[in-house]
Amino acid sequence: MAIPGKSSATAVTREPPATRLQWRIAEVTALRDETPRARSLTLRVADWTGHIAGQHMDVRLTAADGYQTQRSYSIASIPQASELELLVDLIPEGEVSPYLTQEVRPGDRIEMRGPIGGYFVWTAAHGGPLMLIAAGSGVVPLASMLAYRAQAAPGLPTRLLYSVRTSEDIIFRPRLDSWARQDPTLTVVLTLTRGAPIDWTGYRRRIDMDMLRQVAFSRDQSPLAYVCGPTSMVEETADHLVALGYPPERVRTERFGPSGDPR
Amino acid sequence: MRSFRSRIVRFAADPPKLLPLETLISEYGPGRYELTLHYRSDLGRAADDLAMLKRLVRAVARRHGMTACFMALSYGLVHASPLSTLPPRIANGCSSLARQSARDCAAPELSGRWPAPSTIALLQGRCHSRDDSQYHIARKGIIVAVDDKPPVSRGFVGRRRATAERERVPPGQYVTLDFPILSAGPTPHTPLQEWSFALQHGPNRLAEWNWQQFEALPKTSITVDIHCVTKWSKFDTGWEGVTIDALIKAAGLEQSPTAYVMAYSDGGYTTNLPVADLLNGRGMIASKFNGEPLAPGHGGPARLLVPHLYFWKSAKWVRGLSFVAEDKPGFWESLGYHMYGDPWKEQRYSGD
Repeated sequence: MAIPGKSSATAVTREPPATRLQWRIAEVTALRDETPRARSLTLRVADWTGHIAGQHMDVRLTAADGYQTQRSYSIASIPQASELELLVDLIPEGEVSPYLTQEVRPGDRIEMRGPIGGYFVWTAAHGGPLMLIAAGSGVVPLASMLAYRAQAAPGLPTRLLYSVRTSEDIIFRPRLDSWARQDPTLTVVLTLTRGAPIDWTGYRRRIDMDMLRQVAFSRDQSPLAYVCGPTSMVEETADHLVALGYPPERVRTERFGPSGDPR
Repeated sequence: MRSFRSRIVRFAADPPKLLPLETLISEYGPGRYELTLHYRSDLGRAADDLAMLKRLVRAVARRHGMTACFMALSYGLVHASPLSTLPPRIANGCSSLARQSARDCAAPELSGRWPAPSTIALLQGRCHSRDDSQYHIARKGIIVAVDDKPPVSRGFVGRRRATAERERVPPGQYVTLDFPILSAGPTPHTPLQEWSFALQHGPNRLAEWNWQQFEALPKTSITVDIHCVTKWSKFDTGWEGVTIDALIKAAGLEQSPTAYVMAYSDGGYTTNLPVADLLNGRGMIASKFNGEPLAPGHGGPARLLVPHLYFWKSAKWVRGLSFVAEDKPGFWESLGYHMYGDPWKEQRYSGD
């Protein structure tokens, strides 16, 4: 049985901030459609002091009558960047994502606070080899890790296994391609789950045990794994990694979206 | 705060001087500055200087994500002025950045510490402008005042809820019909024959139950709303389990040996709670959700349930409570999350 304690978290324990995380106003400086449903927002935050790769921001919107709502979005940008990049995936029935992907324009000001999160983060001190596994917009915090790794730990053996529905749903494809091209120690493996172009040579199915056996570092290399995506994908993938011999404390997860369970 | 001031100084005082700024002094009130302009005998030029200072402060405020406005400073506060009857050496322009509430405009002994959180908020852009009609160029100086209404997100409508529903949702939360799963690592799968639950006090095991014994304890059913710090709330969740009151009684304890507990789980997860939050039916070890055995993804075979706190306090895969004298941070609490986590006070992160 587990010993009470925080053995799996101590590596990233930081002093809690002494004062409240304040809401700040960020100004939208650029928008870019990453996929037909995902939009990247570049924001300027006064006195932004950076973040740790993997962290997220809380976003708060206020309607004219004072009604407010909040959501969290992962940070895509490199930690040292002067401007912040968030990626918002459109949930058609959603309350916030249609606004952020369709209504917002440069010059708009959005309240946010952060960066937040101290476990699903990676710094060079965490080491590797780094096994990154994502589905859909789960690639966003991992993209921040890869951008950071390219500067802080180039040459650290790293693999990204990334599952999306179709080739046009690949978020950050140009930067993923570019990193993989520039760095032979980085491998990016894509799998398409709902139809692939005729000339597609990669995987064409959901991430499964066989795929992980082929793509993931073996446990002998003592890899550190980060898994981010919809709940069912993360649950299954984390279970598979543990079955492949990854110690549970070397598998860090972040989940979003519905559980897949009946109500 | 520092960068706001340094920008003003950079624009106003560094050569080439845009403004004849003599000093920029922190005033008593948080975020309040006295900006002293060089004396000009020409009233027209003095007025120009004040107007320009106003524009400058506004522009810098805008760079900090806020809009400044200006109000007259009462005559009595200004001891030297080009407009006063005594010939002064300098003209004063008092510029104050402060929230409208009396508490925050007050001297440090009233507001507690300097800079006050509201001042930091202000400089980080939480605040925005008052109505333009309240702008005045002071005869004796200027006060810049800013209030803290959040800015309207242009074009955002949002989804209104019925009042009854709204009152059930803590601030910053939205209602989900789904039951999302959030955890930091893989889901442990402890077989029931290896499962046990313990009450611990230091090195002493006060009581321990295996699965069969635990299931034989008196059960309680409750239907409650739950609130996750990641912002979803779910209404009317049905749980069945053993209350902490019943566990303490079954352990033969008269009362809790300490005021705090650390709940600990398979996988190494921990979370800290005051014992008072677990007693009188407020906390239980739940093993059924909506009539079904609790699924591993949701914390099964059993999880702590403390529905009046953010749901990270309801530790999944819980294996015991350790009574401790001091309230020490658990897993998320040591990673920047709040020590207590009251959703109605929106205690999400440390300092909230």
